[in-house]
Amino acid sequence: MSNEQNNESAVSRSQFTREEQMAKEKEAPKKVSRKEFVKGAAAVASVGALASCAPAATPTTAPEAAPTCPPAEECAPCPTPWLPEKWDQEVDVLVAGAGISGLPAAIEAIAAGADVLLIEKGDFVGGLAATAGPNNFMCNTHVQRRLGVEDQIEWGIADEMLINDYRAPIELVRTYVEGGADTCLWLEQLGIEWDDDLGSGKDLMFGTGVARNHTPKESPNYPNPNGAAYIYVMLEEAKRLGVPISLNHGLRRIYREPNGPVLGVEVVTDAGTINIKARKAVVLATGGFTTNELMEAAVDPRIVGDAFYSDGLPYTSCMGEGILAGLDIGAGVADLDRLCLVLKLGSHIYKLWEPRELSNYGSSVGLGSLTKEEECERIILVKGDGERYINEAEGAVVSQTGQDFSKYPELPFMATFLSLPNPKNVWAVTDAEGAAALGWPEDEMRDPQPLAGRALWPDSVAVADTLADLASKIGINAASLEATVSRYNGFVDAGVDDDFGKPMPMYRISEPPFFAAKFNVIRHTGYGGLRINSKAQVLERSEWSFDDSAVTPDELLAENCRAEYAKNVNEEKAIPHLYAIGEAAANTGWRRYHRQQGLHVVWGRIAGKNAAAETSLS
Amino acid sequence: MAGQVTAHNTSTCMARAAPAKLDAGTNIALKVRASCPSGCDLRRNIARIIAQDGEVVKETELTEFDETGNETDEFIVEAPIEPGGYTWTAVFPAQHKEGVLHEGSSAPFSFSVRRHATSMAVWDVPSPIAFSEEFRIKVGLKCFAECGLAGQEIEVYDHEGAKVATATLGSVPWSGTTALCWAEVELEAPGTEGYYTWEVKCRKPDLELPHEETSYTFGFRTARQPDHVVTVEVIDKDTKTPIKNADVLLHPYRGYTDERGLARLMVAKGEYELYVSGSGKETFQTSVKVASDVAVRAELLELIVEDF
Repeated sequence: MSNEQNNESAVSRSQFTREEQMAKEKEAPKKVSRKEFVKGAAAVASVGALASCAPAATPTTAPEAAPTCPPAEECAPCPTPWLPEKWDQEVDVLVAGAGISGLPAAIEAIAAGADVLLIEKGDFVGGLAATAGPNNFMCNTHVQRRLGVEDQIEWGIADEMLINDYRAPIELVRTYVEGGADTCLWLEQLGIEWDDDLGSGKDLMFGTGVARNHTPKESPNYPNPNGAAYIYVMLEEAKRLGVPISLNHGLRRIYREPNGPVLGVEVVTDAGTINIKARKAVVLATGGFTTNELMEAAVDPRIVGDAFYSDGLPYTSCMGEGILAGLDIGAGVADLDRLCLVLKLGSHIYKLWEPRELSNYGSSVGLGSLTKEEECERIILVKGDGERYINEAEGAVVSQTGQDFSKYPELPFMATFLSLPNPKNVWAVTDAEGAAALGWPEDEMRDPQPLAGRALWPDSVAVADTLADLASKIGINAASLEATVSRYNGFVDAGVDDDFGKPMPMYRISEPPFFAAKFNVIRHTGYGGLRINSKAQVLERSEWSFDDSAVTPDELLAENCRAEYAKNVNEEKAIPHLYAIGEAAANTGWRRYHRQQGLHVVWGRIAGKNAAAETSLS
Repeated sequence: MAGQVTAHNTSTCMARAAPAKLDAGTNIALKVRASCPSGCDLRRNIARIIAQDGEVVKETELTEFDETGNETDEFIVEAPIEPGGYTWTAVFPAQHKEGVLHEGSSAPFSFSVRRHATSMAVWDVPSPIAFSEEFRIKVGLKCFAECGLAGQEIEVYDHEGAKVATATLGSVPWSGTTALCWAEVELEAPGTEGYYTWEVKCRKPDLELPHEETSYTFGFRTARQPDHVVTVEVIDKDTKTPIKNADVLLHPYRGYTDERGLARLMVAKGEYELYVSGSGKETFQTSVKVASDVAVRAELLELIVEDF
């Protein structure tokens, strides 16, 4: 057969098959109801294959029938396998995740007149923001004007690109930089009282000098002026507007018509699994995946396992549910390996939040992150064999734009750690003088309490009378540690670190007792996620969905490799009725690890408004 | 029939065994299990631990019983003092109870006894030290099993291997430690310039229980007599109050500030880089040229460590 004929028959074969199947269904009498069959069938493995018939041909009288397949010729493929058996609830807009981006999305959607449901897998509202700091990058705001700080959108965009080392989706950067001023006002209207101190503009994450750090000040409108303040005022607004919030409801799957719109979601609850239809849109605000070790290992196999821990725990787990659900229905992803690795000596967690209430600030934990030379002066870092491996002050290097290099996996401080064989067993070691200068809490180090004080963990701190004693407590060879310290003290006396070039001042490690804190790393705000456009719509990863079997290789090539593609995210194809915001979306730049709460509120509001404006599918 | 006795087998094992390696003379927690295939309750029957030489180290009763067997409570025996390998035996001797004879059984278990390991710390070694000047260091010794080491002798050997001093360890542990017995040792510096590495040794301590010998090296630099005094005043930049205990480094000279925020360093003439480090403060740095007595004022800023 000629190619031409092949192509024609391929296209028409699919059409022919569907017509043939429908014809068969019409004429076949008394088939076993598809519903009964499916109930009895073994769990289906592939997404989209969950079958539910269009109105059953025969009434179901035996819902718990034993799993038996009808004879092959009588078994008709379900015409709509992408739908659940039934919908348990129906709304216009379903927002999954009640955090810093999900709350404003739900608020804007209901304010626009949509019938909204906000679901949250945890038992509290706030997600990571409940324990976050107050800092916030926003550009050209009324607060800046009031304080006489000159700023422009174009400067903000330029600074944002600079801070992110020019790796950021420029159209999206423009979107959130432009949206900051209005959101600043909006949050103020909700009750946030902005502090007059906008920072120097030259501190971390702010770039080239314009003061843009917006933080809440103490106010009767919220119990504490930190990240929790944003959550508090937005939650009050959500309640005022009557947003229904279902806690202990976790997104598991998205229902989508092949090559068509998203239709709803499958949700896991305490009482079982339910299906919620979303007539206008689903908004994914489910966060990142720093707790999902399997997913993290897939993007960087070095960052899981011993000495690696996750953001959010023990209060919030970031399992990437929304990202995975989106991938399953054809969404594109970007920058999943965009990482921020934060050293927390002596601890396993990022923030302590006891009691777990919005009135209580997430407090800092651990014995430092070696981001300042003053900390590095007092300690040495030794690895499992008892030897030093790096200039300890490497992590204290700061870029011109205020970036702290200790967090980047590709720069020497973290990269050398990542390259060490497992188990790494790296410890910061110092003596009594060093511990006193560092303010290390000796009582806590002798009796560590994982959920109190500095949240120190017994396997990550040690105090001992001698270095040999210390070595035996931390699993390092005693003679090796003694030799390493002896050699280091010689460098201190000489004023030069011959091995690694650590700068002066250096201090001997000699006065008992001796202290050790383990080099533990928290995976913090892994920001890659679902690709979106300026409207927060999720983008397709391919012109064709996995479900369309009629596509030829040539067609695939032709549709996905057009020269004009990917010049601008706003020209790419979006999945209808699906939005992604917050850490679930690839919505910001490569280095925007901190001060990003404002931009998440911007994106949440955009998604909420756009979702409410969609055409209803009922 | 009257007089007939049923006989059961038994088997014995260690429910809690001795660790493979033990410090001499330390306590070992053991637990013995004895069971009968018929599932008899053997409580109040005895079990013994027999040493290598046949001596009964411990006799105790079985006190716990369930369907899997019988166990003693956990009990303590003392490890031998002499280092070496040992094989002891847990024994359930043949015993009658309520008309049943339970045959004896035993289980050997092995362990090795080692000398107590000790470790040292040496601190407060001044540097640099003027030629032939007297100086003092502190030496501490700790036994891993926390034996008291008061009264033990330590020796200091110089870079040529000559013994130059001895000292006796005190009984009060160094502040902040649990069991580090320490002593201050008086020494004399060599008369020529250089960097010297000396050694502190503790031969096998004279104690009832055997200990390892241990040693530790320390280093110091010698320099000619200093010419001038550099007085460094350290102040908090915000409050303008003096800072006590700030580290002052005019390499190779070191000191720290007193209650008045003052440190006095005796240094040879020359050009130096001064570093001042205070707890919770940014490190201060400046160049200092010493051609006569000099006074320097260091104002320290608060160190702000970002918390995200």
